[in-house]
Amino acid sequence: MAVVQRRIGAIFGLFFFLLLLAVGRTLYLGVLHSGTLRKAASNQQLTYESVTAQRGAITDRNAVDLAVSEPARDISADPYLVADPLAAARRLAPLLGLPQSRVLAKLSQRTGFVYLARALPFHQADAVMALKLPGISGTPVMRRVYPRGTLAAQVLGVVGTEGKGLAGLEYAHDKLLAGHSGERRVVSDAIGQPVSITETSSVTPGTSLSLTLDANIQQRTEEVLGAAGRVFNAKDATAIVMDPRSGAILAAANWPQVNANNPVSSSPEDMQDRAVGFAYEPGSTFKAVTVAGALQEGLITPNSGFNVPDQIHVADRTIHDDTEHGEETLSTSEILARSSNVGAIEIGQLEGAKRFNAWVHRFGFGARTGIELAGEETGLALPLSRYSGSSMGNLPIGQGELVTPIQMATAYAAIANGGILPRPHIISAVSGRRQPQPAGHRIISTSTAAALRQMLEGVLASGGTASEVSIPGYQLAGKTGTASKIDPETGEYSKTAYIASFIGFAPARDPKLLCAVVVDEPQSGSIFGGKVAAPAFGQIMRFALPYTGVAPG
Amino acid sequence: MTPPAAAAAAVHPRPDVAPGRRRTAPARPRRTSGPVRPAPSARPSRSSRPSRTGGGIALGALSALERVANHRLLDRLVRGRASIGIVAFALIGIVTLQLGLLKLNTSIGRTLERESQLQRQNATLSVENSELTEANRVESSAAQLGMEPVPAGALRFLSARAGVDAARGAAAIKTSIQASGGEAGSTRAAAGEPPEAGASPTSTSESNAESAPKPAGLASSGGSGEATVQGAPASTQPAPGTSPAASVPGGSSSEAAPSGGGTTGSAGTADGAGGQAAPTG
Repeated sequence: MAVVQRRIGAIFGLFFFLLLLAVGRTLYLGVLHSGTLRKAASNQQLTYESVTAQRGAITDRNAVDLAVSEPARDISADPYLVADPLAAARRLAPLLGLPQSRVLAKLSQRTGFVYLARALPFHQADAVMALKLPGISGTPVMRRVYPRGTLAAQVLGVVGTEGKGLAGLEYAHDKLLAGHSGERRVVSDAIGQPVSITETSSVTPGTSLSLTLDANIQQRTEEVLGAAGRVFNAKDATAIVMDPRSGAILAAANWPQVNANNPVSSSPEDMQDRAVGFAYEPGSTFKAVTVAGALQEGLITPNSGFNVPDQIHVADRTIHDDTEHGEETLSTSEILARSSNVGAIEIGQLEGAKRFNAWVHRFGFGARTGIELAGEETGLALPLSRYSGSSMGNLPIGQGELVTPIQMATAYAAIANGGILPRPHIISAVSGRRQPQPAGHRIISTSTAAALRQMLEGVLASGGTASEVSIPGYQLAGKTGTASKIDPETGEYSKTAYIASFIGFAPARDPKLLCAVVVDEPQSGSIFGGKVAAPAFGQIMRFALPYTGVAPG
Repeated sequence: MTPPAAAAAAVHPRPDVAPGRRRTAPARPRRTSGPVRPAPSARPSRSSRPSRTGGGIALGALSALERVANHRLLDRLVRGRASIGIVAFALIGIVTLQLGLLKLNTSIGRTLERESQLQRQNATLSVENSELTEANRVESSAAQLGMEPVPAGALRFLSARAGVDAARGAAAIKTSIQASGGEAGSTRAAAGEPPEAGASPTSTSESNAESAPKPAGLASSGGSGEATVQGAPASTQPAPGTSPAASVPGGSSSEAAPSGGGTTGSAGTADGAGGQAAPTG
């Protein structure tokens, strides 16, 4: 019995000793080293992951993706933790698509953080992370991809490496598209498996935008515009295709093209959306506005006759027609068809500066159209108080005021649709919800608009300035423009720099599509709107009319 | 208000436990410390109660806790065998819950990884979809199938005839499939053969096809400038994402419309016209 009791005592003592050891160890770990161990555990087990919001997609009117976001990773390094920078650079360079020397230079920096690549596609980033190089880490981000590359690049814009829109629609609607990033608290076990995931702040994906653009019309417009730009060796060019009834933009093309996936390869000037940001003197395309005002005021009719010499003196200036001719009698229709400067000035003078100025503003010049694109210019429509003695010698023929292509297209849309100045728009739906169509307002009567449309048919008829352009089955109407540019060095109109333009619509009697083409500084071949821009208009419409199901007429 | 244990026992004497039965609770009232408080004679008036603030609430809570702790049922439960089972059940439950929670968290991790994977796939498919609908690609594919653009002036839009066009359209599609992708149509047109039953040739594109310019890259399968498009059945409305581009032989209510990038379908016409045979343009 005593032996048993001794053994029990020994076992008790042993357990008591072990208990003391455990208590001692607990005190050692829990009190003396608690800070270090807590930090180590936190580093190993606890991470806060940033959850990047997926940027909303931009699609055309047929739901073709024009801009999408895909998960990617920013690859960064802590050079202090990279034991062998040379070996690491040798392995990383091919995966990052960078020269080895450049990667080595980054890994050799005396800093604790350096980016090796931004927004690397996930498959590449996975390959990098699979190397498990110490000091190399990947942060999840979103990468903006433009599947069609150059298509509508200036309209769509670009997104910076930080996920912010920098140009175009990406910039103008950044708040909608971007959404809100969130954060997760992840506790992992010893082998890195998450055992607890808590959303500390929720992520809100970006809103998608559906545009009125049609990718096919856009592409064809860009092809035609590019061909015109190359053939005539132009500085740049822009074209707009619009539904004149609603103001919906079906195409807004710019040349030279820009690769939206690699915008740094292009100049900032090329990134500009000239459809809204290019202010130019419109030249003869503006004569339609001059005539519209006079028609609406009841001062003229399409058949009103004017004695038109080949030059006219206004104040201290002499304005010529394009060709020399003796004094002849031209009707209003003929003045438009032959684009007589003298005739248009006579109509403007008949109208008077005050009424003319009112009509310029009524057609929306000098103010933004309100289209949802970034960088829209207002142009310049002089206030009446700043008219000089010679103003009525150049304003009626489209010199002396600055307009944008979208303003001109909108003004012609009013003529095409029966007198309503529409509000051009390019966004048709936000997050799948159709946007209300902005209402326009009437500026001229239906009869005035109809008379103008009929007169503008003459421009493309025999004897007109764009008589070479036709589309079988479709009656076209429009107006050519060839405007002199100001030479910035002399401050005078240049003898070599012009802007060739054409704005037209079809079918002439019931227009369904409108197209404006503006070619800046054509250098070879021709400088005239009828030769440079009108054929491009014809080619665009030749595709777009049947494509959109517009019946010949 | 429940009286203290001693007082309560005095008021409600416990019956004797039957002989031979194990007692689970003492027969006599539990001893409580302190002097025995007299049972309250009456409910204190509202005004005489301690105020329900600060110490009053704490005291109330303490006394409630005391009552619960001293409750007979709890006493029996703690002293009886059932408590072992309850504790064991609770322990197993806690462990099971923890395991479940761990599994849940692990599955959340996997789901998030899957979500990320699907996002990548979705983006890749979107890009692929956009590239596949590219106009030039569709044009060249259409050309390989023997389609060619119809000149703009050759278009003719007809009114839809409800009840007739649908049947003719279905028949024409069937014919088209049998004719192996449009080649047969153009061959028939070139040879002057009569069309399939239920379909009549249309002059829509025939009259103009001879003078039609053929864009580079599009092969003529009809030969000698004959129309390769005989016409199309009554069309359906264009599906989103498609553009008018179809070359389907047969059907008298046919039209032709070029397309830049769609596969099949037709553009709606102003008068709600029927189908179009529409090679890319």
